[in-house]
Amino acid sequence: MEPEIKIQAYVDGELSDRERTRVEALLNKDAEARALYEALKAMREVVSENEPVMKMPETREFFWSKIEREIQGSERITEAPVQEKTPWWMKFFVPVGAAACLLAVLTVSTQQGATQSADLSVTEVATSGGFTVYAPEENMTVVWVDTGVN
Amino acid sequence: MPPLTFTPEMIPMRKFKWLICCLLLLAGVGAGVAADKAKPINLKATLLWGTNDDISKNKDGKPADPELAKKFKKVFKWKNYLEIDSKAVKVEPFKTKDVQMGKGKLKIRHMGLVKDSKGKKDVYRIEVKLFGEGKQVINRKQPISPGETITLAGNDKNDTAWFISITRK
Repeated sequence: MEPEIKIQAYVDGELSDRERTRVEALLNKDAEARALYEALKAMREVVSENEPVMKMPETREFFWSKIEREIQGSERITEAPVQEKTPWWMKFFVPVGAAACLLAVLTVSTQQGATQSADLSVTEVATSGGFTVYAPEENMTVVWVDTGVN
Repeated sequence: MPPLTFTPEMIPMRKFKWLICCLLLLAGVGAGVAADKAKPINLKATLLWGTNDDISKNKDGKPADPELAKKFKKVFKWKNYLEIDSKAVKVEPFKTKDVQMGKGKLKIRHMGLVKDSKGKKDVYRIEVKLFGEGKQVINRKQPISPGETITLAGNDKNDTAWFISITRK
């Protein structure tokens, strides 16, 4: 290690006892080394004395107590639905309602499947010349067949 | 903080109140439709003969019901209508009833409920088959509402006609 670095480490208090002894011996006998030491020491004092101090807007205890309160508040919100009481009749109606719905759907679909047809009104006449008419005023459907008789 | 686990109690039941009401209503409607499905259908089948001749002395039948004759006169060209035969017919759901009408035979089948052409109302649908001399002459399927009439008809000799009217009571 170079002497400058050792002196810097000495100023910062990072040397072992053995190395510190060596550096002190060097400083005693070498004026140049001593001048460097003085300069580094002065710089360190200037830096350490003028280091800006961050002042917390609130005390440490208050800061952490705020965080704790927020955590407890969020836990209460999360747990709120668990504490909600479900009325007994609701527990009864949910399965009954679902079963009734299923029954209704099955009933209607089965019934429609049994009777629904693409054409609600269909006429098949064995002879030609027949026709079907609807008389709305009389609410009557007429299926006429030509029997070939005059 | 306890671990988050899902439990049925977490479901907000209040939100399901309307859903449950709707389901119950739907179930009621479905049950009503199902009950109505089981009803038989009551019909009146009448065999008539239409002519322009005087029927007062005809011994083959009696003058047709005035209401029915009035309907027929508005639709057909004949002035007089003689009732040859008339029968009340009750058809059970999804069953077929054979009805003898003069020389012809009717097969009326109850086809259950269907939606009307607008898809709004439930109406009964029937199938009417007419057989003459053992052969099927007409097969008609249609919805029929109370008071509605299906008339099967054809020309006869000497410019007369036969009619079979089927009216739902």
